[in-house]
Amino acid sequence: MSLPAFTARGLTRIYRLGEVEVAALTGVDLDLDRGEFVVILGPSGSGKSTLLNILGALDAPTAGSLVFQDHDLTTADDAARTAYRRDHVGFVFQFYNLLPALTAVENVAVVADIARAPMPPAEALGLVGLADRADHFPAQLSGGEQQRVAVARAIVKRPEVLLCDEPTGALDVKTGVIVLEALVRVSADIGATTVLITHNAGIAAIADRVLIMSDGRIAGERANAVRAAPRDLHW
Amino acid sequence: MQTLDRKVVRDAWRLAPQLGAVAAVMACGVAILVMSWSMLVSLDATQREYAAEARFADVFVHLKRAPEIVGRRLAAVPGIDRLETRVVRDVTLDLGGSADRRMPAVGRLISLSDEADDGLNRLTLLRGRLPDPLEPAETIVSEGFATAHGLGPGDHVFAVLNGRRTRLDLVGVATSPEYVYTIGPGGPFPDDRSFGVFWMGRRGLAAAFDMADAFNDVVATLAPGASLRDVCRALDGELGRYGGLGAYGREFQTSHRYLTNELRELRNMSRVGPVVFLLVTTILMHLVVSRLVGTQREQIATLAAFGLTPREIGAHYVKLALVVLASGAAVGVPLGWWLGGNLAAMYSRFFRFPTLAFRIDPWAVGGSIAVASVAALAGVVQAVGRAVRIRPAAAMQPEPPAVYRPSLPERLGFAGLLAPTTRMMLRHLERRWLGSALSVFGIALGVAVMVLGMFVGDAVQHLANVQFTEVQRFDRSVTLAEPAGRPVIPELARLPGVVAVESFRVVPATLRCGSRERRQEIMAPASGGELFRILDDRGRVHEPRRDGLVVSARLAELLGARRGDAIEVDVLEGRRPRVSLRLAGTVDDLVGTSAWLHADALAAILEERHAVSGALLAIDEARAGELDAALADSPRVAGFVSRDLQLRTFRETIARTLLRMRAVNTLFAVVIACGVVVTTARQSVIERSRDLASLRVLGFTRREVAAILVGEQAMLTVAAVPPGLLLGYAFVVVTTWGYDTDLFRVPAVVHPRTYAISAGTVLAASLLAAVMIRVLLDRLDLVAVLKARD
Ligand SMILES: Nc1ncnc2c1ncn2[C@@H]1O[C@H](COP(=O)(O)OP(=O)(O)O)[C@@H](O)[C@H]1O
Ligand SMILES: [Mg+2]
Repeated sequence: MSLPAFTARGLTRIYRLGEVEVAALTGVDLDLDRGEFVVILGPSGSGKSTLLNILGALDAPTAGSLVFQDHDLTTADDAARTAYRRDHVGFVFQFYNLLPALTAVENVAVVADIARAPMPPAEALGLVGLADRADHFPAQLSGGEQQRVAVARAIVKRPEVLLCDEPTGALDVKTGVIVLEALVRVSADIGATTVLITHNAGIAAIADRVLIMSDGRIAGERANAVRAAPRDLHW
Repeated sequence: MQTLDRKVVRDAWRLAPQLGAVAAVMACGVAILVMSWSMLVSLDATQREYAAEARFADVFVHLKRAPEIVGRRLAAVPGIDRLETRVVRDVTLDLGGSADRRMPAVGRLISLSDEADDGLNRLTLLRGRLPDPLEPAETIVSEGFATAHGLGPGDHVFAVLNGRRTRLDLVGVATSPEYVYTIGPGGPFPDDRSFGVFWMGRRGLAAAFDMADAFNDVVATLAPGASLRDVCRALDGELGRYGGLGAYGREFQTSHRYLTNELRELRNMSRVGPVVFLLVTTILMHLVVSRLVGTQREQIATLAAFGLTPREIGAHYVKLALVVLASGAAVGVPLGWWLGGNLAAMYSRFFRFPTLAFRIDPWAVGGSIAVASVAALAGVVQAVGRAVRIRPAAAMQPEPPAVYRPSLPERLGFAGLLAPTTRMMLRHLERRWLGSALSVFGIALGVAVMVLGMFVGDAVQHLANVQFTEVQRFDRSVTLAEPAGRPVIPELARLPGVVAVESFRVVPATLRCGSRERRQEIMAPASGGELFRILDDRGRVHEPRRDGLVVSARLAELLGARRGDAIEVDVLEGRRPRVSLRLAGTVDDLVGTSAWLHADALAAILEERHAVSGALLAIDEARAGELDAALADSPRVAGFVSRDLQLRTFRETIARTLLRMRAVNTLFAVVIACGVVVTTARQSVIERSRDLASLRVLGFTRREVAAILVGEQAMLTVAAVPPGLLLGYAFVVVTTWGYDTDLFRVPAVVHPRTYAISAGTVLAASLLAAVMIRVLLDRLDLVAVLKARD
């Protein structure tokens, strides 16, 4: 935990809706270490997704600076941001966002195909315990299975950064635990810096560090001396 | 409902490009319907009104010469209402200009009855006045000829009357119901430059042609209820011994026939075209609205959950169709009006009515809109049906992922060769097979309309090529005033610039088979001649036979005769022999109807030693002016036709007109092609934006993402082109049936260039769509798309 993965200073994101301005982020300072597992907690509308989207270069800050390792994402153009996502980032979303036209293994392969040093797609599926469902289409999988495919898709390229926006939000407890287990195990395997958003405080125990957001800023922070295993969580 | 109507407006606005494309295609269909239906009504009404107003004759007969007392006897034939005798002669004209650039032209001189403002085939003076009966040189000229040569009252032309160069003083310009469409002796295309009609006092004309107290032409109207057939019989009986060429009704009057034919073509045109456009409208409407209902499933369920009735929900989507209908009609009706005005202007160059106004017909407008409504509503029926069947419960569950399965190429074992993105494309196209098939069909229709639109030009070019370079290979065609003996051939050969002379013999006749009969000239070309050939539609050369008649296939059909049948032939010249000839063969020729016989056989029937009716000349172009002057001055020559001039006129009038029509057709076809391609492209962007945003999030570049949609679009287009070309050919074949008249047959010949351009245009439209897809995808807001669940 020496070199920081991310260094953010004064990150601000303002949405302009005609006359009205909505400040989703107001001056966030943040350092994330390599391999760190961070959970962001906060009420709905507090700016969690906005921060995550900026970290993933899906969105750009209105003001402030953001550096990933040696990439300055503040000034990056679209091509550079695409390349950054392609080479370094894995995403997991609340609604899975699988490609319905592709089977499980193909959903993973589609990313492996454009990655620099991916693991075999079947291996990624194995890591999330879905080796036997490789040839099923999303329509043939349950929500939890779809989300595990999404996790496999996110980690197949061995990303340095794993960004998860409420990955268990649409799942029941039992299924959510299975997905979280897959996430924690795999992110440790590949040593990815992981940011996981949730509004479920119970999940925070699995993190190295917990950030609490409200009103577009980081209102609190705590470190867990011991990380809990997902199967020991209760919510 | 007001708030829901606001949703209609917002949906329409969001889908404006697609709906706009649909409306554009619809507008084309409506425009063609409004134009052709209104034009039909206008032309039909003008034809009928003009015929009634100008007392257009019902019966026509030309003869050699009869004394005037015979005319009085004819007027008493039962069934005849009113009858006029006339003197009509074709002469060569001298339009002035230097000797070597004299333009050969034929003038038809027609005597005016003394009560010119009360007679049959009454002239409508457009400029000037009627001739003074005491001034024999005063003449009225037909509008077409006057316009082509910039002539008017006060000008004069010279005509060779019976060998004497005579000055005609033009005092008026007029139209006649008999020459609304003027086809000169050179036929088969109208040529206002080398053929004009002149009306002058009877006395002067009769004096010049030794026709004092005599006539050689009769026109008459029928009494109500009289039988045309009986009247013609009676006239033929009376005029047989005066060289009568057979009486005929309006149906066979050249101008009337062409006009009627044009009306039929217009009717023909108002069928295929609009059907295609409105079919495409239906398809596009279906693609847009069915996908809209697909993406708004949750919204519809929510509305249903709040208590909206299925009728209200259905009405919501029907309103979208009405928005398209309103915009399509708002553009299509004025467009059709404008096109109709242009078409009328074009027609008035060929059809010389006193006035040919394009009158927009309220029934045509109403009818077009009705047809367009059917097309638009047919497009939304299925989607509306689906919308009203969505249950409120659907709003409570998240939409399950769409169901896909491996595509056909994968099931056939090619899976290993295909990248995941390619599989995505194939599976998507296959899952949406109906939509994909409709897109392919729509694009194919665009290609087909393009082929059809361009074919008209190809056909006319082909016709002109065959007629002016393969059939007519002479430079001048000379008609003698009277049949002459063989010595006339060396005489013609001695004229300046003449390289070769081939005589021909042609006699007027009536052909009869069973109860059917036709007036038809029998032509005997010089045996072994090179300057004129009998060609069929495949370019094969046929020879006239000694053992019977060779006739146009169309003529055989009109006579109901088959090869080997006996044909009764009444020759209407000279001794007027009646013989029976075998139908020895038919030729699928393209222009008019003809009957050919070997020169020896015809001479034998006529019991003459190879008389000559006229000759075809090959000439040295350098001396053309000199030759034309000599021909014009020769008293033996009734008229002559220059093939070059015919061809030039053809190119400058008909061809140019057709090219303009082709430009309009092509434009319409481009609208279809672009409409389909643009709509499908935009639809696929909307429908796939979530998938594509996911790929972009995963690190795919814009180019890679665009390649997926562009690839799908390319597959659809490539799949559509071959069937489109085939379908285009099928349209062409169907259309040529409509052109199959005794005036023309249009062969279903499509130039390869037409296929190439049609395919190329659609491919270019796809390229445009590819650019559009790229632009739309570049604007894709990744975060918003991932958040939105519709
Ligand atoms: N595209 C947008 N346009 C306008 N306001 C937005 C947009 N996205 C988010 N916001 C606003 O920004 C704030 C933060 O949103 P978000 O980061 O999504 O919150 P969270 O994920 O913590 O629930 C909210 O007030 C939200 O309304
Ligand atoms: Mg959020």
